[in-house]
Parts: sequence; C-alpha cells; structure tokens
Amino acid sequence: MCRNFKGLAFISAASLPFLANWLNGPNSGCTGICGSCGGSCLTWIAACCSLLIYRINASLFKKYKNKLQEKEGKEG
Amino acid sequence: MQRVIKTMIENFKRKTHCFIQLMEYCRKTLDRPASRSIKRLLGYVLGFLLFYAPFALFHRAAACLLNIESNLTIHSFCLRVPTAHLLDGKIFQLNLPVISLFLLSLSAFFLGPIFCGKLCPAGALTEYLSMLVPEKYKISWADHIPVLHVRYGFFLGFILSSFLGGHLACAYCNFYTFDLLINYIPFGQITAFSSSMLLTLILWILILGVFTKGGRGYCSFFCPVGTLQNIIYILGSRILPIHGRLSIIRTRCNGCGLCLLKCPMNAMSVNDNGIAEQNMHLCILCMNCADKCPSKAIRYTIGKNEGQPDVQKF
Repeated sequence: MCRNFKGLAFISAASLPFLANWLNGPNSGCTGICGSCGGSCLTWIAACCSLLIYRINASLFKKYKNKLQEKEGKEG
Repeated sequence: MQRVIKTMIENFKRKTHCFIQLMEYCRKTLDRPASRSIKRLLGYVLGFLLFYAPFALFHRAAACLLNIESNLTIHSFCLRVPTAHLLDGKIFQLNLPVISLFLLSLSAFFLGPIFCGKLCPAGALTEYLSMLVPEKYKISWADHIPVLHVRYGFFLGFILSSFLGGHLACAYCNFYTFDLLINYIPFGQITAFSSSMLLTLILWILILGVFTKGGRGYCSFFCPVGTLQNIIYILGSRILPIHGRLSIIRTRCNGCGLCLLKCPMNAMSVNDNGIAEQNMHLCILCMNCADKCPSKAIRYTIGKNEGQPDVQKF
C-alpha cells in the first residue's frame, strides 16, 4: 500500500510538466487567469491539489492501519 | 662572483622557505571550520559572477574562446534547451547550452555534483536565507513526502515534456526566477514577473526555501540540473575505478547524527550499525556534514572506489 503512495507521488510529479504544457499550450483555451503569463500558474495549483490529495490519502491510510492493528490486537 | 651567486641562492632559499611557511599557514587557516564556511560562501559568489548577468563571466569566456554567439542571460546555461533540440539535431552543434551541459555532466561524472554544492547561487540563496528563520517554524518535507519519487518523477516529466515544445519550463525554473530577481527588480521592471513566476518565487523562496528544514526544498524536489548530476554521480561511482566522492570513515564515525541535522538536502542517515550513510541520490557535496562532524569521519576523496558504493534503494 505504501509503495502505491510512492508510485502516486512519482506519477503526480511526472505529470506536472505535461500538465503545464497542456494547460498553457496554444490549444488549451487557457486565456490566463491573471494576464498573459505564458507559464505554469495552473500547474502549481494542480501540484498543491495533488499534494493535498496525497496527504489526505496517506493520513486515511494511517488511520485505517491503526484501526486494523487495534482490531487485530482485540482479536489476538 | 661565486659569493654573489651563493648569496642569491641563499636569498632564494629563504624566500622559498617563507613562501612554503605562508602556504602552510594559509592551508591551516583555510582548514578551520569558520574559514571553510567563508570558502563555501565565496564559491557561491563565484558561481554568481560566472553565470549571472551583468557579469556572466562563463558566457563571456565561452563566447570569446570558442567564437560562438551568446547572450548573457541564464537561458544560455539551460538543461532544457539541449533536450528540446535532441530531435532537430541542434544538440550536435557547438553552442553554449550544449557545452554547459557537457561540462556539467563531465564534472559530475568524475567529481560528483560539485556545481550544486559549491557554485549554484540559486540553491545557496534559500539555504542561507533559511538560516535566519528559527528551526521551530521550518517544515521537514522529507518526513511527509517521498522526496526521491517526486524528484525523479518531476525530472522524467521535465525531460519528456521538452519534446512537446514551448518554453514553459522557464516558468517554474528557479535559475530564471533568480535572474529576474537580480536584473529586473532593481531596475523597476516588476512586470517581468508573470503570475506563474510569482508563484514559483513564493514556492522556491518561502515554502520550499526559508520555511523548509535545510532551505533546499526546491533543489530536493524540482531541480532538474541537480537530479541529472546525481544520476551521473551514481553512474560515475559505479563505472570509474577512480572517482571523487564523499567517504565516511567507519572506524571514526560514532553515529552522533550531527551530519543528519546539518545536511541541507536530508541526504545523510544513520544505519542500524550506528554509522552515518550518504544518500547519493540527494547529496550535493556541500560538505556541511564534514565541517560539522566532531570526529572528522566524513571527507571528500578522489581515489579508488572500494567496491560498490552504498547507493540507497528507493
């Protein structure tokens, strides 16, 4: 499970430059929320979102693991 | 005549002896921890003078020596440009980005990532700024995020996305942001900072810089130049019989863990046997660990590789 989270981090990071190209490319339809940035402002927002999702998943996994351990402890 | 020659020889000997003594004094002085810190700072100043306008000594020297065209911006020293030119064949032409990349790779192959640890002023800026912030306000991102996975993932995406065209990589490049910070802000050209550059600036200086433990969060996660150098460093240590690397004297190390606290890249760890270990995927050879080591167990050596290096798995 932990390996999957690391894989998720790898894929999220790898997708960031692609996301920047896609979001800010000529065919993306992005007019720029703060002017003609020609950059990756949306990418950073996406990065923060993916980081947040990763953290939520990790904490949920931790809680799930703790519960599982408690259950196993009671049964044992 | 003979007497004159004898006197001259004696004078020369005396002067040489004085010179040797002076050199010895300089070596001892420079070997002091405080002097080593100053030496390190001077290295970053040299890096600034070499790569950043208005000085850009490296660009000027290359343009003069090789008779090639070069502008004085940091774009001339760009990893992304050669990768973007892999398909159109421009990478095989003699231009500054290709030469820079070649020199960078060559130095990393034989000596390790010395550019990051000794010269890069962009990385040093956040590291030195973070020293001004108390430790309790800093976040250790390495405890929450798998650093190596993000580092290599971003690098892979960075290289592959280069083939898609465009110059979007500049928008999240700390080298370029630093260039703007130096050459545009002082002249009142604040409009040069686009919205995305401002976000990069905030992320690089504040979130992953000043408020990160060690101050090199951006270097750890997003710097493609550093990642490339570390890959080449590992490759060199595996292939070459003689290689420059950080070596830990196992008999001297007492596992106090001071190197862990002082490493700006979180590249040090203490193994189960209580001996410090270097993570070659992250180490930038800044030698902070060696300076702070109380038992002098860490040092940089150029010598024979003793078996396979301890490259940590991830």
